[in-house]
Parts: sequence; structure tokens; C-alpha cells
Amino acid sequence: MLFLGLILSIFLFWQPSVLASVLPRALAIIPSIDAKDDFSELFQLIKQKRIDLVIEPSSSKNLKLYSHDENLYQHVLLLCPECKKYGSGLNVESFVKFVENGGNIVFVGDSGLSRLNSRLASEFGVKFEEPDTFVADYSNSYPGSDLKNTILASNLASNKHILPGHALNPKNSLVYYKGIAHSINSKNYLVSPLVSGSPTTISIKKQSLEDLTKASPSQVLSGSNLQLVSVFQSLNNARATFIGSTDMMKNKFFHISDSLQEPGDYRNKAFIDDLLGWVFQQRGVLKYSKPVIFKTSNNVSLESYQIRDEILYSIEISEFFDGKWVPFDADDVQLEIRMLDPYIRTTLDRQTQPDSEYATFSKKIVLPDKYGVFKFLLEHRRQGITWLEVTEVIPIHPLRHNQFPRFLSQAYPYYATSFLLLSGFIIISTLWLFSPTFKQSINI
Amino acid sequence: MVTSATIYKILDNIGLHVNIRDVCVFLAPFFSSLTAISAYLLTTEVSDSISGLLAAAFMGVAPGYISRSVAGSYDNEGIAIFLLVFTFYLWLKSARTGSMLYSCITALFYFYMVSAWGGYVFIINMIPLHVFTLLLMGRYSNNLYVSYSTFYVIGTLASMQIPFVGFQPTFTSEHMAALGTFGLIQIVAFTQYLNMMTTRKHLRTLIRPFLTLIVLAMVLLLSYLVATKKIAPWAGRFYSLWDTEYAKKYVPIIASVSEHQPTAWAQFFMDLNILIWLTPVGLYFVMKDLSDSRVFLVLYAILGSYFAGVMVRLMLTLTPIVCVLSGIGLGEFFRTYLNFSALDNPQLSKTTKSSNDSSNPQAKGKAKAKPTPEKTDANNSSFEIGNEFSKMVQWFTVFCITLLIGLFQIHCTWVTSNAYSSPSVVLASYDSKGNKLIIDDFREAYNWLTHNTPEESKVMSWWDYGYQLAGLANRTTLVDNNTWNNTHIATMAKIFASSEENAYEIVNDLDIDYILVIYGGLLGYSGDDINKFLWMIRIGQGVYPNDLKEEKFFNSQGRYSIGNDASPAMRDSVMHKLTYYRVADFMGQNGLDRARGQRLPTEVTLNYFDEVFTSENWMVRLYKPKPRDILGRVPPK
Repeated sequence: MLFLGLILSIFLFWQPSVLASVLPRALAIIPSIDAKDDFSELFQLIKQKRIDLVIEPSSSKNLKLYSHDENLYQHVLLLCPECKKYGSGLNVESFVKFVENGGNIVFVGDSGLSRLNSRLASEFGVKFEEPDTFVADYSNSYPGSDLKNTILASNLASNKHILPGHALNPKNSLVYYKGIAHSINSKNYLVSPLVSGSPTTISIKKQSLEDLTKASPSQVLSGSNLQLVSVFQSLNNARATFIGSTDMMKNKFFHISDSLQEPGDYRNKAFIDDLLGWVFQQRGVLKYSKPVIFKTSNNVSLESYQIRDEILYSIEISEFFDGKWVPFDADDVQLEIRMLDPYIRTTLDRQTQPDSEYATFSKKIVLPDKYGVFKFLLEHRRQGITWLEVTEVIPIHPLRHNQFPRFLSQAYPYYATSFLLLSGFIIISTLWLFSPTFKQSINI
Repeated sequence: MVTSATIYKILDNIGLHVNIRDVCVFLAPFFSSLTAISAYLLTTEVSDSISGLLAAAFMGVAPGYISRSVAGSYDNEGIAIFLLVFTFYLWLKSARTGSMLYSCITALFYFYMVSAWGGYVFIINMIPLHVFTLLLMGRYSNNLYVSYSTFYVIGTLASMQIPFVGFQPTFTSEHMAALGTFGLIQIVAFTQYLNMMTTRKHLRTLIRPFLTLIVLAMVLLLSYLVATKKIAPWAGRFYSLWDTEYAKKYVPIIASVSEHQPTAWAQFFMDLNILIWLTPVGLYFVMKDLSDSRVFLVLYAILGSYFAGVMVRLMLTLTPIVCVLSGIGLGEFFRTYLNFSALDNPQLSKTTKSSNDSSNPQAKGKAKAKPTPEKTDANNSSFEIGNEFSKMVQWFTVFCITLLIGLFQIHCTWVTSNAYSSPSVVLASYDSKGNKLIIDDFREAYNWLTHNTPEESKVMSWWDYGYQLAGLANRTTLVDNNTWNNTHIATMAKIFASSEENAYEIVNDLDIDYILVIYGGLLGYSGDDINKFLWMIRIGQGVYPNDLKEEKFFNSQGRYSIGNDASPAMRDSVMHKLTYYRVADFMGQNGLDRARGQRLPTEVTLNYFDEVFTSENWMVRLYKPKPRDILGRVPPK
């Protein structure tokens, strides 16, 4: 957040129009200015999130995502699936660069997706179906005839960071969806499904329904391989979501079944609200302190440690949740101490203090009996939260020559023997000296 | 290292302020001079000083030893060979005299040897073998008992002080022979003692069951300990000495080292030259007049030549004994052929001969001389002619042998200057006009690394270049020449042999910043990474049998090809790609790989790595793995 503020303050110097506001800025690109009314409730939702929204038609000449490598907006909503071009020269690379600079994207597709949009999505590991296809589900479709081909998607990923409302009450969740399907690249671990098809969901061509019967099942995207909504978080923690339906963002779908709805139900509006909150970095964002490492025997933090020292590793992690920093809640934060291979891998214990925005994760660790330059790696990668990777490189020394134990219990036989030999020598010499034979030999 | 530091400090204290580097550079030559002296002492111990001087001279020039003792070769072997020869000298001396003092000094030098070189195992097996053979030959003496017992006890205790050895003498197979011999000599000594004290008859009844019992108990105990793994089995390196195929089958990493290959005959000739023929001569003279010490030489010669035949590196241990035996052989030769006194004064020689022969010289000499004076004259004249002739033969033979020695000297100088003096980092070649070209690609690349990469960056290469990278480029390496962890080396092999995608994962996991490969195809330098690649696969296969398969890297005709007809696994492997990336662009589509005489592959693509540096003659190529893609695209952009 501080970082975003910093960008803004730089930004303020030369953009007098936003002087009044220090809110994060979002840009919504819509097909034409007329379409604004269809999305009015969506825009209202965004504004409620204390985001300064700029709405531009795709044909607008002054569409610009960044200037001098500095993003002009924090978030971009692409609500124009059929757009063949954006402004005067925004291409796939511009959007990729926008994400590389830390910008978040809400990408909305639909049947009739343009090539530009399709290529843009594929950069993120999301492969949309051909433009002339749509998603059908004849077992779970909307009963009314006014909204043809609207399906009821209930296969929502239960992720408390992305969809907290759904995670709390998973039974009554349902999303109305009408549009195109996509699949995700299994090699790309940054993208994951949020709403998948149910077993009866398929993607079919518009013109010829009979083609469906001819096509072999492997050629048809269906079931849980078919994605409706996916989320993406890049390595620099910029976020994006890919939605294959424009309609589900529209006012009409927000109120599709208001009359039938019961209080605990989770429908399009709540879903979109949760999803946008996540994409706009208002949830699941982590911050952490520099890890504190010190020797437990004397509470001293050193540049390097010795083998088998007992140290305490502790790190404070805080999570941004709905506008405030709260202690990060997880019981699976692991620390690895590795030198090519992990020598120690252990789960850190979580402690919280009341009224603290941090949770402390710590553990007493006996360092490995191996010297070398070790990497203390805390890697916590979970869907929906900031990728956490904290590394500290710390050398571990062997014992110095005078630090080994002086008296070993195993060696007592040797000590005993040496003293036995000494005393035996003295005894035998005495006996010999005072023995009669010796005296005789002296006398002779 | 301790040695050079000590020398440095001593020189510093007596007012000679020498750079520590100079001490290191001249350490090996200095110790080789000591080796020559100890070779003299060793030979004099068993023969006479003429042979000793010759042996020392041979020691000084034999290329087999010079390979490790040129100035600047700062290696353990440099001092180890001196210690080996000197320890053997001291041992022979102590065994002959039975002096406890000499045994102690032997043990001390043995201790020094243990601290200097892993080859100390040779000593600790050689000396017990000597003792054992002497016992078998019935040459037991109290001297032997005293010297061996003293040496074994002090030497073993001392060697256990070295951390690397630790308690190994008590439980590894390499040291068992010494322990067993120690036990045996105690029993033999005890028997001798009983022999002295009791009569023969009593002894028999007493000793037979007793001895059988002890031997039986020892054998049982040993087999039990070996079976329960209490005694560590022989290390792979030692197995390969008995079964030359062993290493290739089970420990490819040992077999992959060129120094561990069986020795070629040409190598013997190059390193030893005429000494090869002189050795049997020396051996003959040694056998002819056998003594306790000479048995040792025979044993050493047999074992040494066997080991040298198995492993190129062990040529080093063979060289001293070859020099000693050649010295003895040549010494005997010169003693016979340069002895003109017998010819110059036949009368004298005759009388001396007869005087030697008979117990009553005067009477016999007179009796012989008086009756036939004419005959003696006639004899004398024929003797004169024969004398002249044999004198000529003598001179001729001596001349020939001296010439041979002179030629040997020239050969040694040539070998030393051509094969052993040039550093392996800088190569030299000659163009068609005979001008010398210096190929300095290694240092060029290492300098580039020093000046253009962050200090903490990690460079991956095959382990041969680990020390060079650390020393010349001052960069961290993943494996180097002293890596004991076979898995790490196998992991490097796996990276080189897998496809780009799989290798990229491992490379990222290990935080590798740069990858270095050696390519000799442009120069015709055959020691490059592609030629080592098969060994890498074999080594990797031992640890990752599921991921690496040697046969996949041969093409459909079963050949180890690198061009367009290479096998798919070969063409996909990172090593092949890094080596041949852009080479065809430079050499032309019909270009030839000069190290292998094959056509170059024409289409080599590289998606996960960026070329960052290629040296002047394309010998050293450096690559950097692309940074992880921020959007997770495969391959990264």
C-alpha cells in the first residue's frame, strides 16, 4: 500500500486532474460509452471499494496504461471482448508490461472474442475457446426463456482469500453465467481455476449443434477441465482474473433472481464483489518483517553460526484483510535450511499478541551438523495470497580446533591405561630396586 | 600446505623474505631434489653407492616423476613421492638394523605421508606385505619383529590423529593387512620364544593346536566382521585396482577420470624410456643375491608395475622403484665393464685370483709359475691380443650404454618441455608455418566472469573446471574437483543431459546464475565437454536411473553422433544445445566439428538460456538461464 501511495505521489506532480484524490485509480475499458449503463452497478461496486474509476470507450485516443514506465492506473477492467484494438496502439505487450509494473487486470471475455483479446489471455496461460462457441449445460440452465443459454455454475473454488463469502457458506453459492469457456495451461502454476464447469457443462459451437455428436469427447472441452472464471497472480504479485462472460457483470445478472433469493444466498453480485476485492489487492496481501535469527544460548544475532548451534528463527507476517492489517492466519508456514538440498524443513509455530496486526512465526532450530553457506528459505505459496519467499543466506562454521570436548567418555580406557602404565613402571622399578637380586648385583 | 607454510615461516624468520607464492611454486622441485637424495639412500641401503648415484640421477630426470614435480605443480603428490621413498628407505634401514629409533622415525614419516596423500595406503600395505613375505620365506628375525611392531603401533596411532583417517585403521579393509601381519608376527615371535625355552617335541604338541585355534578364530572373526559390515568394504578406487572393469560398471565417476584409465604402452615408454629395460636387469641382480631388504625391492617392483598398468596415475609410484632397480642394474653393469684392472695386469689378477682360490697361495703360485715359463709367455701374448679385443668390446659396450643414457637424458628433457611443463589452462598450437599460437580462452572467460558478474553469482560447470573457476574467476561453483558427494555431480550430469525445460527447473532450484561449457570443435581440442558427455550420462545414470539412459544418446546406427543425425535425446539435451548453439552460423551449414570430425548440427534452438559470453576460439561458452517468467509462460520470455 505504501508502494502504491508512492507511485501516486509521483504521479500527482504532473497530473493536476487527480490532485483532489489519493485513491487508487482504475480504468474500465468498455466497447462504447453507451454500454456504461449496463455496468452501472459494477462501477458502483468498484467505487464503494474506494477506488477512483475512469471509464473510457475502447476507441478513445487517449487510452494509456503507463507513462515513462510508471503505471497510470493500478487496475484495468477490460469489458470489451470483441474489441479488435484498444485506443491507438495498446497491444498485448502493453498489457503485459502493465502487469509487470504491478498493475492488476480484470479480463472479461465472451463469445465472439477478438484475436487480440485471445492472444492477451494466452500470455497468462488462459486459452479461450474459439469465438463461435459458447458454454452450455442442459441440466443446470436457467429455467426462464428470457435468458437463453444461461447456466447455473455452482462449482466454485473454496478459497477464503478470494471468495470469503462463499468459503463461509458454500452450500448456497451459485453463479449465473452466459458466455465462452476457457482452459488453463497446467504448466503455469500462477493461474488457477475459480469457477469450473460441472460434469454436465460443455463448450459447443453456435451454428451446428449436430457437430457435437460427431466430435469425440476428447475434443470437446467439458466438465471440470472447462473453466468459467480463473484467477492469476504473477510472480510480482500483480493479480488478474479471467471471466468468460460479460453478462454476469451486468446489472441484469446482478438481479436475475432477486425474487427467489433467500438471505444466505451467494449470487453474482456478491461473487463479483469478492472477486474484485481480491483482484484490487484488498485481500490476501501479505507483508512481513525481516526475519530475526539469534542464538538461543546468549540471545545474540550473528553474521554466521556454528554447526549444531540452537537458534531461534522468527518472522512477523501480517495480512491485509478488508481494509486493515490483521495477524496472518496459517498453520503451515515452513522454513527450509538448505545447501543445494534441504537439510532441515520444519513448520513454524504461530503466536499472536492481542491488538497486534502481526502474527509471529518462530521456531527453535538446532542447526545441521554440516558446515557451509546455507540458505534460510521461507517459501509460502498458496492460492489467493501474496507469494511469500523470504531468503537469508547465512554461513555455518565448523567448530574451532579448541572447541571440541576435551574429555570423552569413550576414551576413559585409554586414560586409564596410560596412568596404569605410569604407575606400573614406578611400582616395578621400586620392586626391582629393592629386590635382593638387585642388591646382589650391586655388591658384585 | 602446512609444509609450504612452515617453509615460508622458517625462511621468513631467517631473514629471507620470500613470497608465499614462490614457496608454493618451488615446493615441488625442492622436494623432488629430496626424492633424488632419498633414492640414493634407498639404493645404497640395498646395493652400493655407485648404483645409488645412478638411481638418484634417474630419479632426477625420469619424466614419470617430473610430471608432478615441475615448478608450479603444487600438488600433494609432489611431497608424497619423496615421503614414500624416504619412508621405505627408513623402513629398510630399521628392518636391517632392528633399531627402534629408525622404526620410530619411519613411523613419523609415515605419519607425514598420511597427512599429505591418500596414497599412504600403499605404504601401510607394502610394509606388512614385506614382513609377511619374509615370514613365509622363513627369514624371521628379532630385528624384523622389533622394527615392525614399533612401526605399526606408532605409525597407526599417529595416523589416527589425522581427521581424514580417524578410526579407519581399526575397521577398513585397506588397513586390515597391516593389523593381521602385526598379529601374525606376535604369534611367530611367541613361537620362537617357546622354541628357545622348550624342546622341539614339547613344542610340537603345544604349538600345533594352539596355532590352529588362533588362526581359525581370527579367520572366523574377520569373516564375521566383514559379513556384518563392521569392517568397511574396500573403497571403489581400490576395487578398481583388482578388477579393472569394476569401476566402469559400478562407479563410473572413478572410471571417468583420465588418470584412472589403464596405462597405454606408449605412456610407459614416454615416462620411463630406457628404464623399462634396465629394470629387469636390476631385478635380476637383486634376485641373484637376495637379502631381506632386496625382497622388499622385488615386491615393490612387482606391485608397482601391476598398479601402474592398471591406472595411469600410479605410474608415479612405479617410477621410484624403476629408478632404483635401473640404478642397481646399471651399477652392476659398470662395475663389470669398467673394471680394466683385470685386463691391465693379468699377472696380478691371476695371482690374486689364485690366491683367492687356494688356501696356500705362495706354494701354489710358485709351483705354477716355475715349471713352464714359456707357456706363460705364450699365454701372455695370446692374452694380450684377447685383452686388446675384449678391451675394445668393453669400451664399445660402455660407449653404447653411455650413449643410451645420453639419449635418455635428451628424451627426458623433450618430454618435460613438451608434455609436462605447459600449464593446462593456456594451450599452445602451431600454425602451418610453424609459428606458435597461444590459446588463452580459459583465462579470457574466467576474467570475463571476474569483471562482469556479481561476486556472489554461482557458476555451474562440469566438475573438472571447479577449481579453475574458484581460483581464477573467484566465483562460487556447485561441484569442484574435490566434490565427494556423488549425487551433486550426478545432478550436474542430469542438468546437462535433460531437456531444456527439465533442466531449467533444476537450475532454478539450485540458484545457478551461469553455466559454463567447453567446446573444442573449432580448434580440434578433444578434451571438451561433448567428449566427456558420455561419462556424465553414465555418472548421472547411477543416481537417476529413471531419467538418464545411456543408450538413448546413441543414434539409430548406434553411433555417438552430434550432427543432424544425432538421437533425439542427444539433440534435446542441454549440453548439446549449449555447445552447438550458433556454431553452424559461424562455421557454415556444412561446417565440420574438428574435435570429432563430424558435420555440425544445423538447427540448434535455445529457449531457456541466453548466451552471455563466448571466448575467442569458442572454447569456453557461458550461458545464463533466463529469469523466471513473471507470468509463468513456458518457455520464459
